[in-house]
Amino acid sequence: MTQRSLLLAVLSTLLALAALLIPLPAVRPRPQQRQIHLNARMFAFEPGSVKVNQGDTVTLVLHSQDVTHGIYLDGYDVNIKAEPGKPAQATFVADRQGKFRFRCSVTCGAMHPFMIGELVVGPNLPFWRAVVALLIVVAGSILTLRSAAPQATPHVSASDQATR
Amino acid sequence: MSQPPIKQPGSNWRFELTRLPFLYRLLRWRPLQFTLTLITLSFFVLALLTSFLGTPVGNRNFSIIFVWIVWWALVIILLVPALGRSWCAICPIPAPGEWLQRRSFIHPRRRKLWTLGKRWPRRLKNIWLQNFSFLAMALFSAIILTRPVATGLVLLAFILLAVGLSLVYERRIFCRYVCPVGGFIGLYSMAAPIELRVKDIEVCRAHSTKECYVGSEHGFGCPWLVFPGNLQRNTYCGLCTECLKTCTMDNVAVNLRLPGLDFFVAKQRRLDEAYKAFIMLACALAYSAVLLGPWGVLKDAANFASLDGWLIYAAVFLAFNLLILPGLFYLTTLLSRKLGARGEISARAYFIDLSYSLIPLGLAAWIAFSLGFVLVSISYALPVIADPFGWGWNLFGLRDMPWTPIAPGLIPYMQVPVLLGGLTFSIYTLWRILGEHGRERLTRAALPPAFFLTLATFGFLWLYLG
Amino acid sequence: MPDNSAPKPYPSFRSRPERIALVLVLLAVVGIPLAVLGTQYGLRPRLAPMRTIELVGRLPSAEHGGWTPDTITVFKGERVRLLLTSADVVHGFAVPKLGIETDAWVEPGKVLEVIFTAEQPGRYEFLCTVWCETGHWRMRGVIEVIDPDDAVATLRDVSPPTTNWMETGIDIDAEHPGENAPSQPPDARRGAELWARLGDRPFPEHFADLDPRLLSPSHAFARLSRPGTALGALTGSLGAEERWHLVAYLWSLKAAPDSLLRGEYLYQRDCTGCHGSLGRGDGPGAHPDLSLDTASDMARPATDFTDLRAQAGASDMLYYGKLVRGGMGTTMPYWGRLYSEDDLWAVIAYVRSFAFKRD
Ligand code: SF4
Ligand SMILES: [Cu+2]
Ligand SMILES: [Cu+2]
Repeated sequence: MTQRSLLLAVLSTLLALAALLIPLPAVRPRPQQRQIHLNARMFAFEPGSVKVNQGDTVTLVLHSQDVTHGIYLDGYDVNIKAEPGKPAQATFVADRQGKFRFRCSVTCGAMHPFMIGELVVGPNLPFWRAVVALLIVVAGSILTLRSAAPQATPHVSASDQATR
Repeated sequence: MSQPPIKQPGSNWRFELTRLPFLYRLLRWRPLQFTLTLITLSFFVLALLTSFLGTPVGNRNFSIIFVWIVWWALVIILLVPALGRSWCAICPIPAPGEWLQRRSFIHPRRRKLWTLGKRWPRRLKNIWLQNFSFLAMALFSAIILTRPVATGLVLLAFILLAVGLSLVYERRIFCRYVCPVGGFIGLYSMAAPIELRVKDIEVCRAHSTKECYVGSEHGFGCPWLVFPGNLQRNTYCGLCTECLKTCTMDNVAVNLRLPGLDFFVAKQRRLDEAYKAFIMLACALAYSAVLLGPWGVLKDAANFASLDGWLIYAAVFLAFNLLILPGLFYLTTLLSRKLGARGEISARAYFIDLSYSLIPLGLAAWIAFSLGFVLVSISYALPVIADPFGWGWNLFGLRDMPWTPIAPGLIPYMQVPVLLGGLTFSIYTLWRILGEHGRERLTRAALPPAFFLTLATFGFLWLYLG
Repeated sequence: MPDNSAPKPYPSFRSRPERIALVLVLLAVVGIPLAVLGTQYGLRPRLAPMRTIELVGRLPSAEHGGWTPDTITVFKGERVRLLLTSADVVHGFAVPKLGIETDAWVEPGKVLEVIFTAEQPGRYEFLCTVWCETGHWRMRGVIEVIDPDDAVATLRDVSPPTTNWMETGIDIDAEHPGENAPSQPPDARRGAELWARLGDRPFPEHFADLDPRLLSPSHAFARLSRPGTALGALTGSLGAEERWHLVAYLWSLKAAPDSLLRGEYLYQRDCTGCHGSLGRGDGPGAHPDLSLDTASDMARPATDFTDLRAQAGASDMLYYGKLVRGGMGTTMPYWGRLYSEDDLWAVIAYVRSFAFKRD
């Protein structure tokens, strides 16, 4: 490794970390009250994906359509359970950005562990940060490798290929 | 056996772990493998029992939780990335067959194995069978992962097949050529920072008895049909460390090394292994969408809600694994070959070579995917230990431990570094493989496949975070 | 592979480590299954503190659907433990006439323990209390409590409904729209206020000549405006809306608050699957099986209790009959074996509250 490539490697790592972690001022659309009705059936939620904005006060109303289901929302302290015909609801403030999965929290059949929906709290900065970090990592690795010294060890010659 | 001296490409930095006296003694202690296998065998027996006799409710049945959560996490998140094929050394599935062949558990008893000793067909001496056995399981994964009886049948089929094959063919044919799990463990073990190698190939060459292959009074010949002297990659070495015990020249070592060196053993690259890389990457993507995604249609299709739905799913799934993903990558290699002016290599060989750059990303993707459900579901392990059959037992008073996902909000933040790390590793691998054919126009040649890798990573990021 | 080594003597197979290994392997392969089965079928029953019966719930449409077993026989005065589990989805369990109404779920793969002692011989019906599919109501079974000295009592239903609704000649299968119907849900409180202003004596006394159970709200309304009667004179000048408040008031007097609470409990437990928690007839089972011929009764949607005309036309006895017998040919099950006489009237009183507001 040349000095230059080492520098590049360190630099791109730092940049990628910065893209992932540097705090940014939050751009918050005016918070809203939202009521979201989720219909649960074996083994999906409808709608499967819900978008809200950071700061919104969200009320999830769970309607079980076939058998008893529940909702456990990752990262938020939400866990409600609803028997068919008896909707259940929970209210919380969507204060963190990103995608949070909600999972059925009542065993409801074989695929129950994979009964998953998602709540996207926008703007979904974590995702865009990851994408920027991805681009930095790609560019960084290629630039680093470009400026690295040629491999000192012998490489296997093309003639080896023929033996396959 | 004449061979040119083996050049280990890349950095030759190695640390001989077997120089540590404790480890050396441990690995040469004959009962070691037996003891560890006995433990895994006990779990296996319990898993079989619970799968057939226990509750049909998957997340309350020992077999589902211990096979698909605990064992799976152990293998894909810990063992394979850190210790390569080490699982295969303690796997219970081939053990009964192996014991039967040897007519002993610990010490070698006689030279000949108790088996018909038939030859494995030449055409099957590759991992195509493993590719297809894996795909066959993958097609039914939604069933197998969630129904104890299905899991039980798979486990039973594995062990019966392993015993059956051991009666007909010499050594661990099941592991080497059939086991769907062994296929990808072998592929990803190439990335591990651990290897078993001979210390000095010249010693092997001079040593005509080849005890490591045929066995001696200190141990059995390699169960994996591998001559350690030829080892340059981890792929087919089951880390049973028999050779470490048999070799009277003390020429075998377990080394710590830089991860992933095996990708650069150009001579041993093959299409079947390349395809394994595609299948694994494609399956990781497909599973992330089907099992962890929010789409009920996909879940229904995979879960056999209707035959038609499943057939369409199966067709799309197979096409994605065998045609679409490899096809797209093939296009990028064509472009790369053009841009890099590497026309002297056949398109096929070029494609095979570059495919190995998918392996690190594939492994990272599997780790990321597994983090996505292992941390969420691992807490089922406690009630299932207390009540393995769902019969209302309450061992250790753990039965009523509630389901508590571990740090579910943090999972994406673990997945991102894992994926980006895997991608970096993949680009590095790509670069070095391309470098084998000279350094001219390297960047240009690297761009199309690197784009493919980036796109795949983006796909995972989108599924997990987007 | 060349092999020119002279065979060396191998250690004997009958060495100690091999024998130990063999024992350990046998322990794993044979010992574990034996230990498991021995514990489950030998040890546990023996250690059980009392007679224990395992009960598995499955979706009625599944293979071996319903409760297995669906008949349990115990002795009078015997302490019995039920171990309940579900093999698929969440079910519930209650034996109303034994007072077992835990409201605990019977969750898949978990075990719910219920202990009881039945002092009175006879048949006690039990049921699933969590709606689980269209055929949910078929998840029922019977506990037979035997009194060896009284074979007759053993065969009888315990505290069966006592009202002979059939004797009244009421046709519970006919449509019964009210001739009169309020346009808005009337309010019993307003009716009470009105009567406090207008009334000469307790309101129900004006209806003393009729069997209140056979009186429909529509019928009662008609009485309020009938000229030439004492009641007509008192209320004849009221508008229709106010008269309906009075009718609501009349019905609110039929059930005491705790009876209404009991009715709410039972309704919310057993009826919401089809009639919905707000009585709108919009539960998940409201539209039973769309694959069935839509003209058949099985495809008839569940009754909407907020339909004011239907409520106005129905006497309490009509509801009673429906509850006791079930909706023959529709997916409305019978409750006569599960609910006591008081329970039945309590549910009816609660059902009225979907149309007639009360506090
Ligand atoms: S190849 Fe398969 S059966 Fe063989 S040791 Fe590895 S995992 Fe076990
Ligand atoms: Cu569910
Ligand atoms: Cu039920």
